Amino acid sequence: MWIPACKLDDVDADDVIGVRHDGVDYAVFRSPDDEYFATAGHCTHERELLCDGLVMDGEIECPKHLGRFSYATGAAQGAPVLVDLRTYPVKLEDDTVYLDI
Amino acid sequence: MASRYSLVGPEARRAEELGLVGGQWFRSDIPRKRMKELMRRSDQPALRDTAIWLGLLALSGALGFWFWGSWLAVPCFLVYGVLYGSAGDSRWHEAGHGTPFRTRWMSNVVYQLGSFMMMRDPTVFRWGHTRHHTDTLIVGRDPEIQVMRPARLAKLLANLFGLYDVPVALVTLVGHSAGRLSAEEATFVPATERFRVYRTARIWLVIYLVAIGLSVATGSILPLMYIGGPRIYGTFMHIVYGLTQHAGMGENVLDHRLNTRTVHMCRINRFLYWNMNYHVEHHMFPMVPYHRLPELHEELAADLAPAYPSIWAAYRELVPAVLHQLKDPTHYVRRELPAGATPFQDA
Repeated sequence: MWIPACKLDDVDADDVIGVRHDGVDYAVFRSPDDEYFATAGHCTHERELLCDGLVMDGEIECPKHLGRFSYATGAAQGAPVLVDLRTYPVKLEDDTVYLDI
Repeated sequence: MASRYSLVGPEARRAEELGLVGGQWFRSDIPRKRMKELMRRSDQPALRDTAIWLGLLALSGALGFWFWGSWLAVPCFLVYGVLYGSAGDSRWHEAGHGTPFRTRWMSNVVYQLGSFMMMRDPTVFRWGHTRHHTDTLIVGRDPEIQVMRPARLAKLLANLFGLYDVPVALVTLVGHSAGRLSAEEATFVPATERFRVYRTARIWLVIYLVAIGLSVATGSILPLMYIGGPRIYGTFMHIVYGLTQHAGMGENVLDHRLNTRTVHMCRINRFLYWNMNYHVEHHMFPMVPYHRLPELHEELAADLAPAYPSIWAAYRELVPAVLHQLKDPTHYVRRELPAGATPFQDA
């Protein structure tokens, strides 16, 4: 099911925002090359919102314990995160980012 | 007798029942744009500080060798020892968070070095420190509570010279090298990570055995003055700094402003301690590298209780509080947030 998540300009380049739909949190990323990605909103290590974290070099770092994930693939990059992050397909239409949840 | 602070005892279950485990901690509201600036990584400050740190270690170590046998070796090894056994702690800490450098392998190298100096297995202590950030001063959850209620004063004082921590670390090292974790370690080190613990322990054991062997062969403690020894004779400053963080403060409260101290320190102490005197700020936003913490401190000022003006000021509060707790373990330091600060919402 595709849902509208945010406007293209809601996310700065090389950054993330948090989006909530139906009580579930998602994180929407925009790469430095203006590609968009989406993952689950919380870290897989502990229940921490990733949208407050640091985006750098294609990765999102959780703000609490600094576990890192690739935001394109969701791959966990080592301790303290050992479980990959769920990712969601993204499509852009007009000025809106849609997620397939 | 099982300690109230045991991670596998009744308090651990109680913390869970009270909803204190992995709780929602208070965080001040800082605009995302400003936060991104403060979180930004850079290699330059930590490269400079690490070059000074390792350079001074080499210089003081060389002078100590030169003057060995005379009293002039004492100040040389005092410097070497504090850089190793005290500054090693803050390097271990900061590099463990991965924040000091932009380039990841640089943080990893400093982390491994700091871990070795402080005799802390890099894997076990990474997970232990992770827990300390999740459940700061939550009884039965936080493995890094230094000052319990009531305090074990003899242990605290002995640790000014590593006299508790070092024997425990050495026994633990032997256990790890034989492929064993303690029951407490097993609560926070995932099974898939344990092989790293055993591998590191075997390497370190060889290094220590070589240093001890050299000492025996040469009939001199000099090799141990460089390796291992500073964790005893140079470690006192990391205890002096570390006790200011949480000693005597409120347990089981999900607000770092109420269980943590920020203490103003001089330039030398801030270098040795890598700005961890901004400890409330560090706990609230662990993503901010040490060299940006003074700015974060300014940013948060309106929300925090006033910082302590000196180490002395912190001790004037914490020593009486810890002594009071010997008689009354329910006593703790109550911090007043300034008027206008975002209030603490009890969970």
